[in-house]
Amino acid sequence: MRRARRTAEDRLDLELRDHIERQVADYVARGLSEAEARRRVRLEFGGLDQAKEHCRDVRPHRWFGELLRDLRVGFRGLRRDRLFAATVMLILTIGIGASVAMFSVLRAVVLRELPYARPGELAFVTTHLIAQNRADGTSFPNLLDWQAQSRSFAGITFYRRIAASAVTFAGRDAPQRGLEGLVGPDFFSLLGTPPLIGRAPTPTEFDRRDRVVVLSEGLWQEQFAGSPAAVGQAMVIDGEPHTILGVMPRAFQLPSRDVRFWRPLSTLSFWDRLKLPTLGRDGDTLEVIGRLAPGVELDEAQAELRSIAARLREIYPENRDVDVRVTSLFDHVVGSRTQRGVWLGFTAVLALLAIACANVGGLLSVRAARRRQEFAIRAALGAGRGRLVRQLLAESISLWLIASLGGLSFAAGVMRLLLSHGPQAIPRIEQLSFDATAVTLALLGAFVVVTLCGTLPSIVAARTTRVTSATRDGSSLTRPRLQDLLVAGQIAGAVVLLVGAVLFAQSFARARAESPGYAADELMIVRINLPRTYADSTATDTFFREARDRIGQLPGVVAAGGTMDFFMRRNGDQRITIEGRVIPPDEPLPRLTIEGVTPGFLRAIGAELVAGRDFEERDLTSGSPSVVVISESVARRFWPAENPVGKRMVGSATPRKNGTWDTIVGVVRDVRREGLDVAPILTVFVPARLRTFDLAVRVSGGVERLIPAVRRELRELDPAVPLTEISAVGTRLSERLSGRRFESQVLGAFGAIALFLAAAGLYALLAYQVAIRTREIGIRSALGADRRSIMTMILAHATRLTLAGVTAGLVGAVWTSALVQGLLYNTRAVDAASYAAAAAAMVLIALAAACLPALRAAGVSPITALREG
Amino acid sequence: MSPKSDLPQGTLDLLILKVLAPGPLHGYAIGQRLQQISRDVVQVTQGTLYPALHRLEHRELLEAEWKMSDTGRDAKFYRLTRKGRAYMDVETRNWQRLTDAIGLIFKSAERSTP
Repeated sequence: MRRARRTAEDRLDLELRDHIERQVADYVARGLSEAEARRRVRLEFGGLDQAKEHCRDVRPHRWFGELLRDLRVGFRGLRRDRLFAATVMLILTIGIGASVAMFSVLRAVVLRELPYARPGELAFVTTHLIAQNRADGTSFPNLLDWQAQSRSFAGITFYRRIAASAVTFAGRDAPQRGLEGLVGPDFFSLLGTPPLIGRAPTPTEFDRRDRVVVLSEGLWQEQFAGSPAAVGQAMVIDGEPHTILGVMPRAFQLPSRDVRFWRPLSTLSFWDRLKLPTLGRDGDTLEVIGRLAPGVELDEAQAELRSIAARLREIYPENRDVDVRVTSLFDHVVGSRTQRGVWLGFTAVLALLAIACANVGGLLSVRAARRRQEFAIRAALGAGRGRLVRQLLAESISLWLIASLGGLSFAAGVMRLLLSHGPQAIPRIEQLSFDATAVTLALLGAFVVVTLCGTLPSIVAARTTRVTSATRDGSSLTRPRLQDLLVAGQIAGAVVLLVGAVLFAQSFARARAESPGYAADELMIVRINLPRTYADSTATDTFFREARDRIGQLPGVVAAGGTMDFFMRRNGDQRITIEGRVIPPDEPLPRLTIEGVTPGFLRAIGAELVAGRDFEERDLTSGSPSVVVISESVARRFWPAENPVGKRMVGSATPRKNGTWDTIVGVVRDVRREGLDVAPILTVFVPARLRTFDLAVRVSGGVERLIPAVRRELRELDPAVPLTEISAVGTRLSERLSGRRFESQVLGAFGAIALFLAAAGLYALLAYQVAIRTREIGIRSALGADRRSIMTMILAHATRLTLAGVTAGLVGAVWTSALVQGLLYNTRAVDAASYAAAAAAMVLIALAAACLPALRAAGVSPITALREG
Repeated sequence: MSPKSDLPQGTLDLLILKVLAPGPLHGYAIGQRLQQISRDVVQVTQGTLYPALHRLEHRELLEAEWKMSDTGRDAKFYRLTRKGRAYMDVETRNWQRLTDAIGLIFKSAERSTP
């Protein structure tokens, strides 16, 4: 293709030259000298280039071939100006790449609907505790009343998640642990997602309490390699065989995304307790979802349920604190924290994109202005407007093509990085993939910016200056207003992003710097779930004791002790009663939790004893006085001025009927376990024996080293115990900050890029202005302006632009502060120091960028400037 | 140089086709022939001739061939295609009708002048 085209150009050249030679030969034959003949021919022929241009113009417009040819011309044009092309491509690549990646995150996490039938109708219904103003699980009797009395819902169902039962499959050895969903009779039909294979349990099977189970796609792939033969096979859960009915697709993630399988809640003996009227309305354990009846809005449904809840409050004293809230299931799954975080990232990327576009626009229009002369000359040579526009378009499209390819591979890299090292804290991020809409929008947007900025200024310039400008520059045509505005706008955008970067970096650093209250890197959590064969409490107790002792004796282990769930977000809705003290029921109480732990646990996690003693083995033996240990915050709240050790209390809202009390024997410092950014809540520890537990193991010399030994000990103790999950507390705590780290990194990167772009934009503008004002500067210095006043002139311009941009940016940052405040930890969104830091960074970098052109201007010699002019 | 006369739109194409009717010629020769036959009245610059030739070639009324010429260099020879010949015949007839009509008008106008 390339050769054929080149020969076409060559042939044209040959043909025209042949004509000239023949003419010359004719004249020579008529008696002219060779030189005279050539001179005459040149005069008659007009311009060779002009003739060629006309010949090219009559070529047929086969658009594809034309396009290719124009593109080649475009690439050639860019090659002439490599630095310019590389700069524009780099900026566009970053702009396109970052926005495609970020928009794909937005789509995957926030914009994509839930993978259920008519997801807009799905609602999440929670019990709302009025006094504590927080959500809670729902009791079965209340659920039945809601179901019976409400008209707003086409259906209401419930589920409950249980952390892990021991699971084995027929003919397979190693027991598995998995999070399971225990679901109500209409759970699957209400959500309306068809199973991948097989079917979901029917309400009849639920009522008959059939032992049936539905697998998640993940578990199915692992255990059956995706074979349809899985349906009908047996799966043993806690020693009971269940029949596999079907498999749900990967996207089906209720109760949560790590759910491994589902079975009817009625298959558990727990169901009997739930149904007992005696358990009553306090048994707040169920999570409730509903499908709105056609045409009913969320707030209508909530209003109706709240009026039902109000009636129930009148009837049942246990309900006096119970209200109800209805949110969309979507908000429950994705969470407002996440939604806001992702929107923030997206807003930031839009700002970055706007800066990049302004930057590219500025560069392109500067280049166009510089090429006025070239175009004026070509126009004079007879190149039609159409040809010039086509060439400009070709160059712009070449730029855009390369930058698009670069941008997409950049985005692919970023997304791969996000998937492998991304924040686990963001739900649905694992479904991140190239989003067609994102790609289309980003590429189209870039196309519009590049082609408009790449062609319009030149076309305008070529039209206005066809005559005048073929001579020389004409310094007033640069439209400084628009370009100044673009640069100031970039600086403003960069300042907003920088402020964000500083705030989030500070917030993340503060969260990370919070001390958990113990050496987290030296603490290991071994999660153990005993199979149902350990129903007997002595067996459980023996297992725990042996496990603790075996692990405790490993070299490198300092102490070991157990609690139910180390990392759990604690409810904090419990109350205590103190001997000899009346706490009025309406007194606002801090969140407080009561936690059963084994002796040795507090020592193992490294909670520092402030007063009294830790639990000892004898506290567990029956007949010994019952004791508790409180956290320092409990002591501060209830015994601000006295030593609580020896005081007596019970962990319930009312005194015990038999009149016994628990004696406080110790006070320990507060520790953070849920996450470094979660303030510890008031805790009362009671000594306990546990059936399922997290064994906290304090080690010296790092956790990793000891993991194999711990596994070996447990396997030797009982091979039937499911594989244990062992984690280093330090790692887990820092994972819990991954969302904050992500936000901080995104804003940091965007802020840095924006800072660089804004500075580069300012530099390009000033450098260009210095270049076209060379003559003016020369005259000024010829008239006696010294170097300093010329530098001052340039720097003053730069300072005006920078200050205008920075001021606008700071105003913008204040304006957006409400958006980010809720996402910050221990950091105020309007913070003088952060604002000052961002502004100072911008001013410094901008002025540094301005110095180069200013120095060059000062170095202009009057003589060269005037001669060039 | 003799005074040039502007050719009516589209006429150059027809003239080129006519000149090429007897046989293939290269660009320079076509220009010379036009000038010669019209006794220097029709003078075509290269800036007009070559674009016209190329246009006719693209419209497939002409085809071109590179051949060794009298100068010893390769030259591009144009020749009528079958389509070109048909087009020329139609256009010649049209042209004839038009000039006849114009001739008639001229004559009758002369006669009616007192």
